[in-house]
Amino acid sequence: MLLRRARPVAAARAGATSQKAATLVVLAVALVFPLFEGANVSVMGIAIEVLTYGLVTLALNLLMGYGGQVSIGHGGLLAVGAYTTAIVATRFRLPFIVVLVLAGVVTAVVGLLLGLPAGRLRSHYLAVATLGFGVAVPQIALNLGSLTGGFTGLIVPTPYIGTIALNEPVPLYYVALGILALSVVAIRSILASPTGRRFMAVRDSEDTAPAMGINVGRTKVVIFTVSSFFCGLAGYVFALNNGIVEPDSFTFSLSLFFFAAVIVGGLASIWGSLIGAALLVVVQQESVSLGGFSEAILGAAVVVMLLLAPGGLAALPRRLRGLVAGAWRPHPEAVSAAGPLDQHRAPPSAGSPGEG
Amino acid sequence: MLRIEDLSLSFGGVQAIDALHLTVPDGTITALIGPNGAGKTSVLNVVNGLYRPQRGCVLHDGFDLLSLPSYRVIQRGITRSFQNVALFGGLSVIDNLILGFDHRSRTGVVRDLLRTRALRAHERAARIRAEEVLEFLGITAIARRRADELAFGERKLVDLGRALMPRPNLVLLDEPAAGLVEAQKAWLAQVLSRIPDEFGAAVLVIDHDMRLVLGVSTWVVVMDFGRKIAEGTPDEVRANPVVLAAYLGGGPAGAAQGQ
Amino acid sequence: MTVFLQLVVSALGFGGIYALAALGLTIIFKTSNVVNFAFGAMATVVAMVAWTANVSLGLPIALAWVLAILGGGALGAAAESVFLRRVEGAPPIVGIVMTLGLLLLVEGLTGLAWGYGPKVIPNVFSGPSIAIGPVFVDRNDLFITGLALAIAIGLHFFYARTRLGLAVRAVAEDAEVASLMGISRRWVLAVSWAVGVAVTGAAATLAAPSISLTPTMMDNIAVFAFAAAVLGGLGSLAGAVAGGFAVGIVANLIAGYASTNLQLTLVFALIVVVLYLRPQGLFGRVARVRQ
Repeated sequence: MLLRRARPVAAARAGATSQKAATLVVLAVALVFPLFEGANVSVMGIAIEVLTYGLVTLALNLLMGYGGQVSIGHGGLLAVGAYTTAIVATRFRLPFIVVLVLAGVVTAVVGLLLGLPAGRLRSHYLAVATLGFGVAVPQIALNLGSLTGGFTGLIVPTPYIGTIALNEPVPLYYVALGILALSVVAIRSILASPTGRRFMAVRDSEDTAPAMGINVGRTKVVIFTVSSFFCGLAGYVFALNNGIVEPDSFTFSLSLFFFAAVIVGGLASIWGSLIGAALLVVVQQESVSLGGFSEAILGAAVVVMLLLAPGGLAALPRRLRGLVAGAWRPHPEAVSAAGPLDQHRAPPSAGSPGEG
Repeated sequence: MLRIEDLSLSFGGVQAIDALHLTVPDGTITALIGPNGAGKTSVLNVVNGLYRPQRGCVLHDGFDLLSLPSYRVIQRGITRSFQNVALFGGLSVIDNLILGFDHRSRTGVVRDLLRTRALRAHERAARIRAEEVLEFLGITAIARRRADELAFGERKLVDLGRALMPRPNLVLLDEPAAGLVEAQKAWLAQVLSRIPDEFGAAVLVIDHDMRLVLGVSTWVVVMDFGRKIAEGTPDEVRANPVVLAAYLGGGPAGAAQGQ
Repeated sequence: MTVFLQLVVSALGFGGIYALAALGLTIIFKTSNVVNFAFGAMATVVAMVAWTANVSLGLPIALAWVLAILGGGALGAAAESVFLRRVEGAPPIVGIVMTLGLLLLVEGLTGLAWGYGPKVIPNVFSGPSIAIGPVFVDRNDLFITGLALAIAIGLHFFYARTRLGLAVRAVAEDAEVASLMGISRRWVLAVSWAVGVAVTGAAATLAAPSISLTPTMMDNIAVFAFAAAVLGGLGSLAGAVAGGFAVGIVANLIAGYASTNLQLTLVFALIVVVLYLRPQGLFGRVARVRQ
C-alpha cells in the first residue's frame, strides 16, 4: 500500500503537552494578575477589555474559522448584548446571572434572524448583509430613544453579588475571566461533538454534507445563533466595563477590527482568537494619539498574514516546529498549520458546484 | 433492495437519464458502467436526493426515496462515495469517518454543549466503529492526519470508509478506483468484494476500470446516453456486441474503454 | 405632490452617486468575481487627491477631478496586481478577507496622510438650479446623473457589442477561452480594477462637496452602494444604475417624510429583504447555492 509512514507519535504528544502547559501558565497568570495590578483602574479596564474582545473574537472565529461563514457585523451583535444588558438592568432588579443569560439569548435570537438568509446565500452576500447590520444597529439605537436613551445612551446600573459591586475593576475582571473560561470550555465541547463536526463539514464541503445527514441550511443558522449568543455574553461585560452604553461605541470599524483580529490571530483556533483580541487592544491603546494608526496596522497585518502566513499567528509555532524538524511536512495532529485560508486548496472541480 | 423504475432526468436541455429500470438486490454488488456522460453519476445523485427527476420512482425496500430531502437519505441506510472525493479537508481522518456515523446521534446543540450521557455514549460508539473501519481498510496509521494532507489513494479509502461507517444496507460508489495505481486497485477489489459479507450491504458501483468492476460484481448494467442498453452477468456483458459498440463507437473515450 | 416630485428630483444627485459607486463595484465583480469591499476607501483616496490638487496646488477643480480619477485608476490597477493577483483561484472567502484588509489599510493610511478634519472641496459644476416645471434641478445633480447613465450605457455597449468587451466577459468565465482570443487575463483584470476604482472615485469626488470630505466619508455611501448593487443584482450594470437611483430616491423620501436618521436602518432592511426574497436582485443571475 502506498501509505506514508506515520510520523512518530512522540512528536504529536509533545505538541499536545506543550499546549496544555501553555494553557495552565496563561490561566495561572490571569488568575493572579489582579493581585499585582488590582489597584490600577485603567490597567484593569484594559485587561477586562482584552477578556471582552477575546470572547467576541472567539464567537466570530466559531462562525468564520469553524463555520466558514463571514461576518463583518459582530460589533452590532456586541451592541445588542450591551443594550439588552443596560435596558433590562435599568428596568428590572434581576440577579446578574439572569441579565447575563438574557443578553446572550436576545443576541442569539437576533443572530438567528440575521442568519436565516445565510442558509442559502453565497459568502459575499452574507458579508454584505452583516456589513449593513453592523452599520444599522448603532443607528437603530440612536433612533429608539425611549428604549435606548438615544444619543446619550444608557447608564448601566451596578449589579451586586451580596455586597460586592460587580462593576468594580477586580470583581468584574474575575467575572469576565470566568465567563471567558466557561465559554472556551463550552465551545471546545461543541467542537468535539456532532454539532461541531457538522459546522466544519459544512465549511469544508457543503455539497457532500447532506450525504452525511447534515441539513446544511439549518446548520448555518445554528452556527450564527451560537456565535451570536457568545457575542451577547461579551456585550454584558462590555456594558459593565464601560458603565454606559451609547451608539458611538459601536462603529463599523469595530466590526472590522474584530474581523481583522480573528484573521491575524488565526482562523479555526481558540488560541488565535485570544491572541488576536490581545493584539487588537494593544494596537488600539497605542494608537490613541495617532489617528488612523490602528486601521492601517490591522489592515496591513491582515494583508500580510493572508499572503505569508494564512494560518495566522496561532499557527506560527507549528510552522516553525515543522521548519526546524526538517523538510516542511504536515504535522500528524488533526489541527495543523494549513487552515481555511490556505491557497493549497484546489478550486472546486468541474463536477461540483463550488461555493461562490 | 433498491428498485428504480422508469426514471427520467433532464437538465439544461440534456436528457441525462432516459426511462431507466434498475434493480439492486440485497447483498449483491451491481456494477453500473458505460461511456463518459452516460448518466451514471446522475443515477446516484437521484438516489441520494441531490437531483429531482422529472419522472419515475426510486423504491428502497418499498419506500419512496424521492419523498425524502437529501439529508434524510442516509437514515435509510444508504451511503455513498464521491467521484471528486470531497472529504472534509479541515478535519482529521477519524473525524471524517465519525461524520459518516454522526446522523445517529440524537443530541442537539444544547446536549452536545453539556456533554450529556447520550452524547458521550454516541462518541464512544462512533470512535469504536471508526477504528473498526480503519482496520477493515488497513489505514489505521493515518487516523489522526488532516484529510487535506492525505495522498490521493488514502483519500479514496477514507471516502469509502466514511460510507461504510453506519453499517449501511446500500452503498453507492462513484468511481472508487479512479486515479489509483494497480496495487491499490487490487487492494480495493478485495475490499469491495468483502463488503456484502462483512456489512450485509448491497453495493452499486460505477467505475471505468472494466477489469476491476467486472471482477467484483455479480450483475452488470450498461448505460449509454442515459438509457440502459444491456445488462447481465459480467461474462454476458463482456461478450455483448451492443456494449462493445457503445464503447468503441463513442469516440476517443469509447475506443480507450474498449479494451 | 410637488413635494414628492421635488424629493425625487433632488435624489438624482445622490442616486447618481450611488449608481456610480455601484457601477465601480460591478465592473470589478464582473471580471474578477471579487466584491471589492475596499472600494469606498479607494474612492476616498481619489477625492483626497482631487482636494490636494485643487486646494494645495491650485489647479482648477475640473482638472483636479480628472487627474484624481486617473490616479484612482492607477491605484486600482496596483491593488489588483500587487494583492488580489496573489489570491486568485483561492476560495471566495480569501478575496473577501483580502479586500477587507485593504479597506482597513487604505482607510488608515488615508487618515494618516490627510488627517481626520473635514475638508471643503467645491463642486465640479456650480450655478443656480434649473427650473423644470414645478421642481428645481441642481446643475451638479444633472451632471452626475448624466455621467452615471453615460458610463453605464457606454459599458453596456462595450461588453455586449465589441470584441474586446466579449473577451473581457470571457475572462470572467473561462481563462482559457480568453487566452485563445489573444487577451491576457492579467491585463484585463488590472484594467477592470483601474476602471472600477476610477468610476467609484468619480462618485466620491462628486459626493465630497455635499458631505464633508473625511477619510471615512464613503462608509455610509458604501452601504447604500451595496444596497444598490444587491437590489439591482451583483454583476449587472443595468442593475447597478437602476438600483443606485432607486436607493437614492427611497433614501431621500425617507429623509423627507420621516427622518434622515432612519436612512441607513431602512436601507439595511432593504438589503436583508432583497437577499431573503430574491437574492439575484432585479437583473442579476441566480445567487442561491444549490439546495
